[in-house]
Amino acid sequence: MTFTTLAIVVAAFSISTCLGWLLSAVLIPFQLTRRLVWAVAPGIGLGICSMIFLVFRRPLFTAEFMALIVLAILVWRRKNSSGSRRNFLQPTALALVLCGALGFAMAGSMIRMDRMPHGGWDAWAIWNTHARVLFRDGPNWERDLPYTFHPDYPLLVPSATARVWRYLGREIPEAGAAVGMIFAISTVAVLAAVLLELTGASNAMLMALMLISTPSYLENAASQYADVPLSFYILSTIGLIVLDAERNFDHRRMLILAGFTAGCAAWTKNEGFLFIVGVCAALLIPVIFRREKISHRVIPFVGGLLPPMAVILFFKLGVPTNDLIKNQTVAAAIHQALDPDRYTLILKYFVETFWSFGGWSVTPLIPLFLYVICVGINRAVLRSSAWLACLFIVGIVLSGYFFVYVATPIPLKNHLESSLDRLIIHLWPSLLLLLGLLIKSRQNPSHSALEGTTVGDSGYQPHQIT
Amino acid sequence: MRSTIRYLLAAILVVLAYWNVLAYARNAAHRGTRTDDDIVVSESRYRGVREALSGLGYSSGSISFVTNRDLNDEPPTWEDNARWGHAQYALVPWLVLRNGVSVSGLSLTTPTLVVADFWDGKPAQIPPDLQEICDFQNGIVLFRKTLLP
Repeated sequence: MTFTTLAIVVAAFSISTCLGWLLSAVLIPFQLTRRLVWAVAPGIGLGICSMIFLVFRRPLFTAEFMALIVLAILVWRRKNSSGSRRNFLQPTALALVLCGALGFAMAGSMIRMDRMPHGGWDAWAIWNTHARVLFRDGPNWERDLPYTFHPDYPLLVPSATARVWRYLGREIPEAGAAVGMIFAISTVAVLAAVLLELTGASNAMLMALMLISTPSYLENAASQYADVPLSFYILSTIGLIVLDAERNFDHRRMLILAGFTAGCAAWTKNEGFLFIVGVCAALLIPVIFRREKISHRVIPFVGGLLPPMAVILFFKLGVPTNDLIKNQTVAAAIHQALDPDRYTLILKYFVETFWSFGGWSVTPLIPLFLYVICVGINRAVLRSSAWLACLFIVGIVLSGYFFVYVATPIPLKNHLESSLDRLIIHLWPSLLLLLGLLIKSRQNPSHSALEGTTVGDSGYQPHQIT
Repeated sequence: MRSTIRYLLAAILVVLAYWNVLAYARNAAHRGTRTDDDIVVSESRYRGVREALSGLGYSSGSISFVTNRDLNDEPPTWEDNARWGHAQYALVPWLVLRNGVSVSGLSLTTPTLVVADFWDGKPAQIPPDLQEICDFQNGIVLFRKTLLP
């Protein structure tokens, strides 16, 4: 890779990050620190740019430039009316430890990228083939895409890769791995940023360290699969929903951003639709049972969801039905649903995969468990409606995965062995977030420390169910 | 005491995190070289085919794919199927069909151009309806299917 190539790749990612930063800066309240805006910006930017790439095609650069100008004006207007955002905190020793681990993880991923530049099997067969169709096939991509592997799979990752090639004017196989690594780093940053906002620095850094030291997570990112990007959008959505629920902001713009990231999840992988169902159900529960106004949370969320859903609809209308639906009949699905052996087998695989998940040389789960016991659980969190809502979302997604296996037309063992570990990757960062919120923390969360609020010894002080 | 244990456990978690990250980097380094990667090899093998197809003025459309099993009317092996996938990846935007079917399972009309991947050796006998256009000397041969008199 020459210096010019590298410079153009950096420029492509910088522009997408700028777009993501501007949109996040408009929608994330000024009471939150800049670090959250920076953490979500790269992934949100790639989501925006992938949609621009697919919808606009030829005037790509003009469309991105126009979007930059519009968002910059919005940020400038907001800044004038709302004041400026708080700065980063001083780096702690644990933050430096995390940066060191990130450095080693990225070095390992760079080596892997060099050795396997086209990625793992699914990467070249699905995601990078789709990226090539988008890049090489010009206006004929809609005609030819149905003849590739899994043509119904959403196009966020392929579009993000093909967009880098458009900037370069030629293909480099490493573009897909670069996209994967950006999502991996951003996911770690979002996990740390959300936990820093709500609990202490030690919880935030330890959970982020747990994520970045999960080899199967790093391998998946460097292998150019779409599971890590999906995990980013799931974590961002859950993080934004928790933050919105736990702080009484005077507006609900952050839920618009949560809707956008949830839409991006469905634009990344079909599993994202299940996640949207889970989030909508969680947001509707207070409307049904506590008579909360629908305009309070649901409408802002749906507002953010609409742009990605419109792009998904535009795409899905032109591609064949998903294999799992096309190759299954209702009668066969009912027959499978009544077979108790399938449930036993799926449950067995779920337990085994959860146990063997991670690919760690030495598992950190036992010391982590002991750490949680030693530090203690913040019992108030167990009564927090936001925390419970997020647990409910994760539960809905896991249950959905379970029932997809029950009804799958693919031989069950093959399906479980080829996909279950990757499905857990989708939820791994969110599970770490939920755990991080649950553990007591001696330090105060960043907002309280800066604003002088007394938080006490337990860190995260959630709003409890009333 | 409790505080000491907590710091000790946090230190253990940090050490394990570094241990696992370094093990990941070490495993990545032991994967073999870039030229050992199947797809890098396949990209290099199909480079000539892409140039030849463009040279023939055939810039997109479908192309048939065969291996030794197809020529002998035998069922394809796992390796044959993998090679088909490699061919489709390397040859985008051309659609690589096997027996008139694409990798997604959708059918198209059978094209006249045929790319053969003789990864396990070129056969002694080529069917008479396949007219050789170019042998790339790496197991890949481009044919044109002709109508037999």
